[in-house]
Amino acid sequence: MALKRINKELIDLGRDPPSSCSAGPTGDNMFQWQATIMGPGESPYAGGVFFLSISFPVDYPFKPPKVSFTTKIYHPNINANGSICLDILRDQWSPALTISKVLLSICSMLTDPNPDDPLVPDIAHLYKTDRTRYEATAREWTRKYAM
Amino acid sequence: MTNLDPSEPTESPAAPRVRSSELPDVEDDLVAPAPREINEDTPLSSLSEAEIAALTEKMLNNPETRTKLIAEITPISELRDEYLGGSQNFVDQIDWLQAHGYTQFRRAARDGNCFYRSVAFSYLDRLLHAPDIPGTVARFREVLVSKERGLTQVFQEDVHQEFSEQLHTLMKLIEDLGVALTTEDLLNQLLEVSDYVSYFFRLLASAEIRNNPEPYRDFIFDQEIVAFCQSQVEAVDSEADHIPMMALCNALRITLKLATLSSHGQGPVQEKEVFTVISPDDAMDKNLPPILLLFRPGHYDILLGPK
Repeated sequence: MALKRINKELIDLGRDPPSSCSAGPTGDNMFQWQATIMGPGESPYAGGVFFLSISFPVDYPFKPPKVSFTTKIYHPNINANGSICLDILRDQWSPALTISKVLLSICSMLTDPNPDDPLVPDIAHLYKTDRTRYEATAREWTRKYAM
Repeated sequence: MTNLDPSEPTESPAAPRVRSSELPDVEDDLVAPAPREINEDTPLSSLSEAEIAALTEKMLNNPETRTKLIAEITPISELRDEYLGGSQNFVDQIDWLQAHGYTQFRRAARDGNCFYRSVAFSYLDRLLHAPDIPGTVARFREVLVSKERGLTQVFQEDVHQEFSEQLHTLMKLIEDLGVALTTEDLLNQLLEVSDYVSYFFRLLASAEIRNNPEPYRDFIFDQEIVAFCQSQVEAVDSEADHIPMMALCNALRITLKLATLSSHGQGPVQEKEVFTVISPDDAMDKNLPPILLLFRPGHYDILLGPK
């Protein structure tokens, strides 16, 4: 049953692609996808192309997909392994959500980090206390790893 | 959840502690271990997270595991045996059920969906045993379709359709095949999609509470209605308490008779202590036997009625 849903999401993504994101299977295994997100124009990630890995559990959509960045990114809610701290990927997941909606949430998280629920406390602290330095470092990482 | 099941230990054993001096030396450049064969002799403690994930995936894909989501008919005496040595109240209540003809039940898996999955099975099985199958299916379908219109007001777009269509497919199957479909065939078909039907029932219960909060508001103490619905009804692992139970009965317009095993009670068991009946005024199943569930603290199973 999970496969049917995953196929449907792939078709929907092709028919109505979200702006600035793309996603699809990496090979024959429909449960393993790769996605790309273009850094939002209003953020220090602008101009960067970020790759993500998506793996669907066998009981998808009743369990959330595992989504992580494979491109290094400097962000309060994303750690060095690329793990993402986002409520809808954990306890706020709903079977009514789709990969398209998840990617859009990640995009908006790039524009508006959530420093009150950080995965990397040091970056969150910098974001709160010295926004200019946070933005400079994020831009630097984007240039270095995502362009 | 509080552990009230007397068949299980009430205190967890202390976690074993390991002194760092007992740990083997670790080499700095660890290489990933080669895949190994895991069998009954493999110590559980030696499993890595990746191996546990792989085993879980294998188990979930196994049809044998799926059939355990709702098990075969079992004598209730088996349940009685589990409570011997535990609470005498449970044993007395099971004896009362047996003496009144409730001698069998079906176990539902303890995965948070037991209530919704049990209702789904009973809801469909009852259609299959209705005196006028096509007429009854048509009446039930009419209610469902009207409730689905209410869902689009609460949830954006048509997110529920993917889940409701599985229930409609099963109802069509019952309509088309009628008594040629056995209960076991129906169960097998349902178990393929029971997560979908269960989730659709969650959405129905949630929409019922959101669209008509008055009967429920006083029972929801410390949360906003929407937050309660999201965390206690729509969340896929959340257990159903009396609020979503009432809401689902109101939404589906069905009558539910719930036998409750409880550790409370003194003196001889009485029917009104054992059974709770939820029957909406506009229930449209008054000519059918009620849906019967067996509730123990933290869990629902399906109860079979007197023959």
